[in-house]
Amino acid sequence: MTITNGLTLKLSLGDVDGDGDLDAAVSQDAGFTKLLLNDGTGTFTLGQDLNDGINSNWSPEFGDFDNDGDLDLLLSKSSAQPNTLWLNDGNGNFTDSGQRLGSSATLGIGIGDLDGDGDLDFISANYNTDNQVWLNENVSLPYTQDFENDTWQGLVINKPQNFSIIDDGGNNKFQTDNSGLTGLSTAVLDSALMLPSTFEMSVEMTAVSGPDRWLDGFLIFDYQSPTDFKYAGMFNGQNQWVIGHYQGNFNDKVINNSLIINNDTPYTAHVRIEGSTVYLAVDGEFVLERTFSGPLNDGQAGIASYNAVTCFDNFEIGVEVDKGAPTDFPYMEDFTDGIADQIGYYGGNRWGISPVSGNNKLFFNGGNNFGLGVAFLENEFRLPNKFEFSATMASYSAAGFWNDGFLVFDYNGPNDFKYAGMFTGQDEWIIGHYQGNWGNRIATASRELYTNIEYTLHLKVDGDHVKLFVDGLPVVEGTFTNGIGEGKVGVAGYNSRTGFDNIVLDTTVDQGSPGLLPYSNNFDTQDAPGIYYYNKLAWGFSGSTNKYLRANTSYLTNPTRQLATAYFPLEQTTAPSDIEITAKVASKNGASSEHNGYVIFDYKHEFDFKYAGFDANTNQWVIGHYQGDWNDVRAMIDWDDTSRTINVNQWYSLNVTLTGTSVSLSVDGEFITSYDFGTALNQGGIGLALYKAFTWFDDFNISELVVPLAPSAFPLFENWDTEADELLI
Amino acid sequence: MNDGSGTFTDSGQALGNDQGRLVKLGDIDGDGDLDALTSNGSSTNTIRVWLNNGLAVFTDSGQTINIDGSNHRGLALGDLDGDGDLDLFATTYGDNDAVFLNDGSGTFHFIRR
Repeated sequence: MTITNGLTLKLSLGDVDGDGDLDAAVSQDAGFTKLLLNDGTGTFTLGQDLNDGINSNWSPEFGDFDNDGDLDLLLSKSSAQPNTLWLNDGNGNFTDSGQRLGSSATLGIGIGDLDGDGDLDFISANYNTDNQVWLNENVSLPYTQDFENDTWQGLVINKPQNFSIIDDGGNNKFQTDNSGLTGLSTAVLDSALMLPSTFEMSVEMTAVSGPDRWLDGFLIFDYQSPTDFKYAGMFNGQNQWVIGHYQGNFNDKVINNSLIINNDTPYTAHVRIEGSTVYLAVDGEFVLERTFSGPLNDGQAGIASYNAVTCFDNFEIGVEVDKGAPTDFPYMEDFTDGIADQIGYYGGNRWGISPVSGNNKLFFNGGNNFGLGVAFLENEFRLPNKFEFSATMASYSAAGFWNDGFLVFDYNGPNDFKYAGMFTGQDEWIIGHYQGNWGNRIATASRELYTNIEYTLHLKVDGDHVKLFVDGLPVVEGTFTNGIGEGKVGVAGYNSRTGFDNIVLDTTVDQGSPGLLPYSNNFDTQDAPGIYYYNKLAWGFSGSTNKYLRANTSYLTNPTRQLATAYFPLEQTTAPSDIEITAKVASKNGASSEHNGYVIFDYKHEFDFKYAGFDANTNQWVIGHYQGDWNDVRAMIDWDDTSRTINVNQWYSLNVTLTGTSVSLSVDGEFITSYDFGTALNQGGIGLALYKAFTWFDDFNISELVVPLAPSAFPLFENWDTEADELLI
Repeated sequence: MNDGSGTFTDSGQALGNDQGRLVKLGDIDGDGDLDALTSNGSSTNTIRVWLNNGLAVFTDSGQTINIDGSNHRGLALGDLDGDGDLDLFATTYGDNDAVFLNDGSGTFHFIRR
């Protein structure tokens, strides 16, 4: 059986077409490697000629190099020519990958997973040059590397002997040591993929001081060779932040030398590349930009150090990298000066600033079915992927107006933006995507909503997920499957008269966000930051020397206004399961005959909360679940039974402890009653309430309940001398 | 992170430059990764042992395995003495072949030829 002739050198066997028999690849010195296909009986027919234009073939080596389940072929060459890789489509049809690996005669190939990442790498034994280690990697974006796994996987380094992972107080860093003026060290992303035309990089870098070295560190990009790449970074000794083109030297650069750069101090450098322009920011502040003559995504990107000992950490490359990026944060506008800074408008003639009770607000007037109005932040820098955004808003009732108000984000124009806000008339909180209409909604929550009442909206944006908090409590959340893009943020109304105030944009925003324990307030400053209200107009501060918080709904006839609550919204993910609440409560004589006061907890909204407190009229201490009425009483102690009286005008010190699902009420140090609700009680707000009454509250404290360790029931040895001696006998 | 797409990059490491002929991979020091042995041509005629740190960073173990200047060419790794580590059988061009036993640490000791 003559299949091939000529200068055949080596062969390998493997099932290339998945038919269960062994096929062959044979190399030819003066020709190309050929495939021989087995019909299952040992009869071979000539298959594909692997013509890569290099005819000094030495050895064909099979391996599944692209992890697709079939055998690919690595062809080594016996002359000073590159090795080539051919990829199998699974049916035995091979395609030249186009890669040319090396340039010398390779007489031996060793294939295996050398770096432990699950794919096949190889070492080439080269006859006339260095043996080489070839790594099979193709890192995709976004790439992040914190070096905590003691690796720099995904990065290709030019001087392995110079790089190491160091432990900096429990935090791993990636250090290159070029002391002794040993030149350039680079670590570039190990990817053959073309970077996008717009991408960002961030790294924390520290130039380590010491003898016989420079002090520098760089992000590099458009890396073509060790003598041709672009860089953005620091020369500490000259206090220079620079962007330049390295061509064997650092002469070609633009400089910002207005900042002090300290040695042994980490700086987070952030580079944004847009086409041929580079923007450098340091620790979130823009410092320098430069436009080169051509695109900058053609070469590799990474980090570098020259003649220096430089530590790197938290290296990231992606289309967007938030860490270290410049922002317009914090943005805060309360319209006090009558000017809306950095605000642009859609429907501009319907926007204006005017006072309400002496407090300036930004108003949208959408009367006469004007339609949409948007006031948006003219941000200089792109928004990060994660941010928080808050504003207060009230929709005002008037004939012919709708009642609504929205936080707007990813605003790309009046027919394309996302929103989170209120349709007051429909009693709905909604998150959606406006595309000329309000129909595309991703989340809705029904709540009783009120006109002329100011709500504090707080939006947490994290990637494509948004969560809306209203007055500190989560209301509605959802994920935009089509993503949240680069659009602007702002506020909006539609056919409405809506007033906006206190617009805040930052990485984290306290306004409207739930809070962390402990909380403590004696109200002496007549202020209660972190506290939100239902029926806010009923609440106030009083007292001469000792100030207290009070509410009076005793004179109100509208049932929905007879309830008043004040609460501290608990941050749910960190709320302890066991919580101690203390407050002083006194019922006063008001316009009605009602006398009550409650500590409330697990507060979801004004129609769903639990309570522990007193009703002086019935002379009862109660624990219950309010759901629009006070009928669902779970535990009750009637002081009539013990001939005691809950007095009006008397301060009672209430102590309410939540332990998991149970609540316990004590008054003036005396245990009253307890109840197990069977559900966790730490997932809502904690506060104070009254109903159709006039009540004072003071010294309100919420903290994690810390139960001291119980003392041992019996000392180990009550009489050490005798008992210990007995044990020792 | 790694899609193993078959895209290769030169790690930049030079594992000797003395007429490389053959490379064999195996975990010779028992640390769970693949180390490398290279045989080399007439300039040195030595077999060299490269130890992997697990991240494909290789360091020269310092061993230059050779018997009396022989021209070792073919390499095979296998547990020849049943002690659980990989030993070395080296063919020799123009002389007797040689066996080197691994002491478990990746250090090879000449036994016989």
